[in-house]
Amino acid sequence: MIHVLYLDDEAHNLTAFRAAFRRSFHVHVTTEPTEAVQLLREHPIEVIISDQKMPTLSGVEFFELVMPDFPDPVRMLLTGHADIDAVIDAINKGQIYKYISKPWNESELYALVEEASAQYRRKRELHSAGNKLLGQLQEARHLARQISDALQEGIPIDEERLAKINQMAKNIDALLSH
Amino acid sequence: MKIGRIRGCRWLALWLGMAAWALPASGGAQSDSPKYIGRRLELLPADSVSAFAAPEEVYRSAGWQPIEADVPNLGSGDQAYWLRLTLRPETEASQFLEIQNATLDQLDVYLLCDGEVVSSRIGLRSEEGIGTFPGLSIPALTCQEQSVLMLVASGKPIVLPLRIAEQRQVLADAHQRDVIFGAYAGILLVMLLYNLFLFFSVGDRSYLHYTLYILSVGGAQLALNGYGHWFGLSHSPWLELRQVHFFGVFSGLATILFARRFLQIQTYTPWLSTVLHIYTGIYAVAFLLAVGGLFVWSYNLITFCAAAIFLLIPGAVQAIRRGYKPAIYFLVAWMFFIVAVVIFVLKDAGLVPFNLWTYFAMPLGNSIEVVLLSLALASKINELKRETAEARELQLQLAQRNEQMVKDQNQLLEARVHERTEQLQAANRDLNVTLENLRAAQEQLVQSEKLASIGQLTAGIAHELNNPINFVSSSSQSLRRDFEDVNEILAGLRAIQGTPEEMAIQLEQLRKRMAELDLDFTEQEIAELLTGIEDGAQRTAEIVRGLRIFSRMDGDAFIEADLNDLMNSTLVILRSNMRDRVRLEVELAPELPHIRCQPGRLNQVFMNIINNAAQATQETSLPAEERLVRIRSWSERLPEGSSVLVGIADNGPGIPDDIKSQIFDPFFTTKPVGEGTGLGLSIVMGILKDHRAEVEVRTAPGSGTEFILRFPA
Repeated sequence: MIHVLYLDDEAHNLTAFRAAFRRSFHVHVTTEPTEAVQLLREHPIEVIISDQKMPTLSGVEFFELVMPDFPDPVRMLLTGHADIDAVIDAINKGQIYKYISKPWNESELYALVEEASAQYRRKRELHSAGNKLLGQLQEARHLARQISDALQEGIPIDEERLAKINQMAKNIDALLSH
Repeated sequence: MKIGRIRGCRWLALWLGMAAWALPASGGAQSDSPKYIGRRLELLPADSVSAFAAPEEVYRSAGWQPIEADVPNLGSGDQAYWLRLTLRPETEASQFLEIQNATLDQLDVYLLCDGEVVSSRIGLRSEEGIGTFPGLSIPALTCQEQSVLMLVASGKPIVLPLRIAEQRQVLADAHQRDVIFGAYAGILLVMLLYNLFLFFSVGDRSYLHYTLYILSVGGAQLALNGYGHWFGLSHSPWLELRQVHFFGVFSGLATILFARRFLQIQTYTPWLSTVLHIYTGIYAVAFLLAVGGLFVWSYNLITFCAAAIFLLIPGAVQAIRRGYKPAIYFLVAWMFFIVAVVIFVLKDAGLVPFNLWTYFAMPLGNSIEVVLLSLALASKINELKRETAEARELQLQLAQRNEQMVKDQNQLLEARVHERTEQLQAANRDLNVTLENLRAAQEQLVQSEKLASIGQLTAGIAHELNNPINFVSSSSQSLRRDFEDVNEILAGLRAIQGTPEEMAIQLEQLRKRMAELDLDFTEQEIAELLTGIEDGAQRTAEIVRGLRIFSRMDGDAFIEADLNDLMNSTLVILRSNMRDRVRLEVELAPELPHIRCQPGRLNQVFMNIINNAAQATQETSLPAEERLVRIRSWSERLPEGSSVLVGIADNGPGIPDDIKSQIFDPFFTTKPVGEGTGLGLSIVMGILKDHRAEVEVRTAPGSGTEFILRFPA
């Protein structure tokens, strides 16, 4: 299930959100930004929803705050008041994925969270594929260095090693073409 | 006769100056004037005998001196003189001694026979004088030496033309004199009445002056010649003593008055005018001297002034030269008079033959002069008429010309006025249009300020409503789902039937399902959701209530309201806007008297000031949670009435002194161009003025600002 974090200074909103989506997602809610950071640490949060207008800091400020440590979760801004400058700024800086206005439409919000989650997962997959590719690339580079060393020293290359290099090249090729 | 005239000449001679009047006294005694017996007289110097000496004593006095003149002139000494005349009884008995001087103040006559008084005539009028002159019938007495003693005194120069003649002769001469002076007086009277009549009918004061002139000059002539009693002056000894002086002064003044007017001296001969003023002053002095009894001094002054008669001649000549025609008449008439005077004097001097014409030259000359001057005055009427007509014609022409000019000017002015009026009207129209535009612009600005306020209000309300609507609607959907779960279990419970074993199994299944559905949590959630819905409904209701207060945003109606309610409503709206920017501290007094106000407009006031306060805090480097806007309300009870106060304070940078006085000015703003109209506080001021509220701004650079609004309760 998707882990969703919702931050809002209005407790009733949190209750309503949890009631609406607890059957579909793992819902984490809090009114306190510090607690939200704690929740980010403890759970594999995929989607963060934050209210823009809060007494201590705004939603955009909160996103800026958590970006360095948690770059991956998809961020969505929720506000009742169209603070359009803040929204434009946030979108331009790539801090938020979507902007939702209150009162929310439950099914739309559901779809948005799903979409965001998919986005997150794609990003995640891309990330892991990239990592895998990087590992194989390093391994290939390592093998290639060994071969080049052997060739310089006049050591004959055995069939087994060559087959291994070929296999790796094929793998990389496959990953890249994926 | 000739002797009688010498005194007539006196006055005129005096007019010719001192020298002239001295003439008959000194050089007038010529050989062919045997009738004057001055050389037979003897004079006793005043200091030779006591003033109270008896006539006999005087007669015997040793100091008698002969007189070397036919007509003795004793001069004016203001003293009495004794004169002695030795008669010739053989020829002069029963003849008449005539003293041809009508102006003596005192004349005592004593007839002595051999040094003894045989008869005496004390006083001037006690004598049976013939005509106007005193005299004495010489009785036929048988004595060795028959003589007459005379004691004479006068405030005027004492001139004594004496003669001894047959009574018949004296009577005839007196008669002739009376006739001539009667005619003279008649002419003067006619002229006087004629000019008086002219004065009353024409109204020209020249005639009155001339009347006075005739009266006084004629009066002087008559008085000098012993006809003063014609004026009834003999009834008053006081006046009789002064008649010559008074007539002298009056005739001089009348002459000056008349000549001044007739010759228009002021215009043509200003120098003469000044001189005549001086003469007038001297005459006044002479008059006062006469009144005071200083007759000699008075007489000398009058004599001195008489010289003015000559000055009138060059004056008249000058006036003629300067084109003043009537002066010719004056000159001619005056010449007659002067010629008469000259003839008279020459006659007395023996230079012209003595006859009727020369004897009466004076009254004749004077009469001619008076008549001529009357004619001159009459012609002056015509002259005046002509001049008046000319002047009137000229005036008419001038008036017509003026009228034409005025008419032209008026037309010109009217055209100008018209032109200017049109320009002004055009300018006025332009100004009106401009004013209209300005008014519209102002209206628009005020409206936009109001709209901004309404916009902020609606945005705030929208936001405030958004949250409760959000969770109420969301909660209701969730609630439905929760109830579906609960209903499912309920339905399961209702469906339980059969044997106890079967029911136990069914129940166990239901319990499993309950655990699956986490119904415990659902139960708790339902409670939470309901709380949220309740809370949301309550908050919505509160906002709506706040809105109702502002529903009169555009209305100007004053209603009784609690300022706290208004402030709370404003704060409901503002709070959401402020939440992430500034901390609001609100201390509202629990009980406030209600005030009459326009809630919608006061909301605009509060919103404006609180927004300014919030913006001010953002100009500081304070973190958001330390930016503070403090709002208080309280009431004060003062002797002059209680008031409700609202204070809105911030911990911003404060207002610099140099702009403090400008913050309520329209279009004054510290915000960048385009961000504020600069009308906010000026509109606030207008609204507060409508509420008769006072504003106090407490501020100092670095220590924030507080606006304190004082509303009369």
